[in-house]
Amino acid sequence: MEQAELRQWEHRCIQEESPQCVAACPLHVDARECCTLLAARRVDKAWAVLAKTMPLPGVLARICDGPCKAACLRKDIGGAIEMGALERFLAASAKPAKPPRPLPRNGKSVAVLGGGMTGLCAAWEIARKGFAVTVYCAAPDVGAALPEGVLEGELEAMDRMGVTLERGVEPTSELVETQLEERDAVFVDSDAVSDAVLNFGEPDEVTLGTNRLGLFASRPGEGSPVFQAAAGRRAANSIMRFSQGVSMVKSRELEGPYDTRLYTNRAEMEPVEPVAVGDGYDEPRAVEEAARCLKCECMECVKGCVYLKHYKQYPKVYVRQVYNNEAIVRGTRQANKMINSCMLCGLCDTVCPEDFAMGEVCLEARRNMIAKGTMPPSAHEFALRDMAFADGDKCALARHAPGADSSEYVFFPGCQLTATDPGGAERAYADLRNRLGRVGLILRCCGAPARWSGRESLFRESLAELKAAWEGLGSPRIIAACPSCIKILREAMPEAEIVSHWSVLSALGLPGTALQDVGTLAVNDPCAAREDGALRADVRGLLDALGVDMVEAKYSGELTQCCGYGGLLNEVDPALGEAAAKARADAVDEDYVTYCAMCREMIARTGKRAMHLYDLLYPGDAEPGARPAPGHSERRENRVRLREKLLRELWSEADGVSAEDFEKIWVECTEEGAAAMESRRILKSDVQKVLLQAERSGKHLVHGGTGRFLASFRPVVVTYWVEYEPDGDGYLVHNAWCHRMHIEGAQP
Amino acid sequence: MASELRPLWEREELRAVAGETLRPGGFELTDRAAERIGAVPGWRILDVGAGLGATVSRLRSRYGVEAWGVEPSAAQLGLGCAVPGLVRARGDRLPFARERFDAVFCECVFSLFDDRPAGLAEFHRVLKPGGFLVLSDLCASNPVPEDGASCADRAEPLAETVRLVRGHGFAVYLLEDHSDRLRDLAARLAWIGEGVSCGCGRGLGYFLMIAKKQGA
Amino acid sequence: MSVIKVPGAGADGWKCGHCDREMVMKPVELTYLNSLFNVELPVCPECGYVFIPEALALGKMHQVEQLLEDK
Repeated sequence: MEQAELRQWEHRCIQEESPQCVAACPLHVDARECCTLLAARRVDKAWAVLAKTMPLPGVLARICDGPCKAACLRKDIGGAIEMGALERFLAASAKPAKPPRPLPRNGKSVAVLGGGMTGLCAAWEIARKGFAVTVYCAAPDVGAALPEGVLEGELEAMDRMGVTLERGVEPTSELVETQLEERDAVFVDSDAVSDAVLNFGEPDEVTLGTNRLGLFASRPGEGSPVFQAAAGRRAANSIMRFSQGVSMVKSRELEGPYDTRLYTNRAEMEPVEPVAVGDGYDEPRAVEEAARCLKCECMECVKGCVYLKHYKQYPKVYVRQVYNNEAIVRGTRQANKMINSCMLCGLCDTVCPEDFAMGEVCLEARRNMIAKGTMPPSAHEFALRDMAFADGDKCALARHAPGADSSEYVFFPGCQLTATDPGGAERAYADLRNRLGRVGLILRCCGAPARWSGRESLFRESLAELKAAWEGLGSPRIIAACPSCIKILREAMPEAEIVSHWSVLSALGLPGTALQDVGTLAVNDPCAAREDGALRADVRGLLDALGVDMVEAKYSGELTQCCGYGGLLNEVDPALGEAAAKARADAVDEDYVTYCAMCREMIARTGKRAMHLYDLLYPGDAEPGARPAPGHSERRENRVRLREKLLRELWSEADGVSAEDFEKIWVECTEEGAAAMESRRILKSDVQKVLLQAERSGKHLVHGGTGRFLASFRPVVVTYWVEYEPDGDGYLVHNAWCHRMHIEGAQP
Repeated sequence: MASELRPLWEREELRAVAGETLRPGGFELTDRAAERIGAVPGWRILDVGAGLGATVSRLRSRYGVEAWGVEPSAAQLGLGCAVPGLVRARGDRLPFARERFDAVFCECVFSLFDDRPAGLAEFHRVLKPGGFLVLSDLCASNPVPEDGASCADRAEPLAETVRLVRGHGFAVYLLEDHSDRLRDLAARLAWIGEGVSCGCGRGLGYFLMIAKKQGA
Repeated sequence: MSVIKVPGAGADGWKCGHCDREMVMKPVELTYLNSLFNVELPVCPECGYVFIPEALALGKMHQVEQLLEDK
């Protein structure tokens, strides 16, 4: 990722934008933080938030006119936060904060003429920057009645900050002239001096500079105390720049009120009326009022995504981590797992007001990791092996319909449907042949795992094979059932006409095998259907025809959430994948119906009753919601057997692929053994290879206590260990584990 | 009728629609140039054809620079008397010593110079080595007779101005087309019936040029 | 290169079934992604069959693999 790209992505994420109150306040007092602390009864800390930003806080907090109220997003849901009253409560009740420690003295001096709120605040701010300040005025006067001692208290604080107050001096033009001679700069509080002094043109709105060099002045007629204070701060900034000879105008856009892009979704927030101010708040009422603060933030994407939540931050931080991860030359790439865990489902950019697409960022990062050779070898290996298997001789197939020598359509059920519900795929194919005639069949993978893992060249290779098979059938229209296949093939094979099985069924009507009056089900849209409204509508039409009473989860339709399989999350971080599936499962009380084989598997594995639409249209023997979710080995076997069965029964062919030696090893597993294999992604074929090797070499370990055997073998890059005992002609497997580290100079 | 005889830039109507600056783009191009050349407090800048002193005032109050202005029209100078640093002088005879200024601004008046080469020689003389010349003006697509009194009648083709500037010891550092601002001003003038008489929009353009004094 | 001794990497009651010999602790070279480690592990003194305990494979060894993959 280039730095410019990083900046663009960072700019899109608005979570770090200021809340409305902070942006509207000309001093940018952090009212959100103040309310958060006050709501937690941390009165002194809340006051410290005000005191660190405000000049003369004891005065300003008591007279602040609260421009934040007009901007407060609580405004429409009960009423704006009574920030002014909260400020007054804090000023009266909190432990006084120490005045800020000014920067070290810079040896320069500034005169302030006029002791109004503007002049005093300017003196405060100028003194903070290390100038010696002298205020000339008849008498300090902030234009409001204050409790006794408050103004004097702040004047004492100013004295400690290095401000000299010359009372009883009426500012005149002559005084301006002499001070301009003596000082490095002069500031005039235009509302606290006579008009005769104001003979220097209109002060510039950005700098408050005048056409006299070194003379700065407030723009007359400002009535708001907080804007008066802001003018003082603006002048202090200008005087600092003027005295240092640096640009007077650069990077001043965030001085004074500015626009903020922060978005806060208020759709589900309940109105709460403001706590009546009356004669002012006591602590319980102030705390209650502060608790009404919405603590505005965006987090729209994070709220809906288990993955974004898991890493505890938000996209602006994540994209920086992705960038840093790429930039590292030596050392640990901390963000590899984060990058590889995104489900690439597109929910974040759908809900983001600025279209921040975490999926795009992560997929591009994965591609870069592949290109640079920094992708962890283990990250996607299992899924890619599964893809290779689905595309291999034992599973892949392309045929015209039995007895036909051309195809009008070709059915492409996809590798996950054939792995999880081979019976359903077989019955669907029969239905399509019955009703449409010349429908060919292609069994293989669409290439999604290659694409999701960032291996674009592998994806292209796989696609080329698929294309060749399709062209071999005369380039017929493709009927695809899996939303991911449909999405990927439509992008990658624009020359092919790809229709969804669901739209075909919408046109043909329900198959004869369809169940009747199914009852109430929650519809789960797969993430691949997010941008395919027609597909989602076809599915709902079929469900309606099936007599299903449909309910929708909160995140549904184009806002649907991924089941945890997308982007290969479940391979990279199985626990997080399961958490995503669980979140989906818990979103509704009803049983789910979905139209993606992996959604069905992921949700069903959490224990939630879930069915694929095929379970209703092309039911097998099992009760639809209770069909078991097959393990990794069984999924492979399902694909192999489906191909063999179809070849034998439809095309009267032997499968033509001879069984390999290891496949002849007869294996049974204990429950513990099977569970270990499943969670460690060890296939039955891996175990068979170990046992064949042990058989042939005669080498194995034996346990002195249990008498069990133990053997290892490394077929390619992973070494598998199998703990077993001979059982008749075969073996009973008790346990299995694996590692990637290679043992040099020992057993193979 | 009397007002019709005075040049357009001295007329009240123009000030009403074009603001204090009396030129296309107003302060936008002034600010753009000032920020581009990096004007900071301590600099000395001369505005040639200062009019009421609006640019001088802008440069002083916003950029904290010591800005001076020269203006040959006594009438204009009288109106701008509150602005310090304004001097009555012609742009091609500047009453300043050599190498006095960090930058010379000449906004929408260069086309009115009787002797443009002499003007450029003067700008070059008063600029410090490496100093900036900020020139914004009308330009014509074809050479026009130099006998008109309106700025529009006397606009040079841009290529000619660039050649002239380069020929007087400057390197052109930035050249931007801002004809859209001229169209905007023409549209404003049309409201008071002056759009045609000032010639704005007759195939004329407007440009901003920043040139840097070459050599010592 | 020094030999790494991993706590808990014992023979756990396993012996070589082929040679019928007790395992002995010996340095074994383990490699992954261009890194080489000398780790003391149970080995058959006769045929050299190495034993990697389950807890080691899924624990320390897995952590090292992940670390190297992220380097």
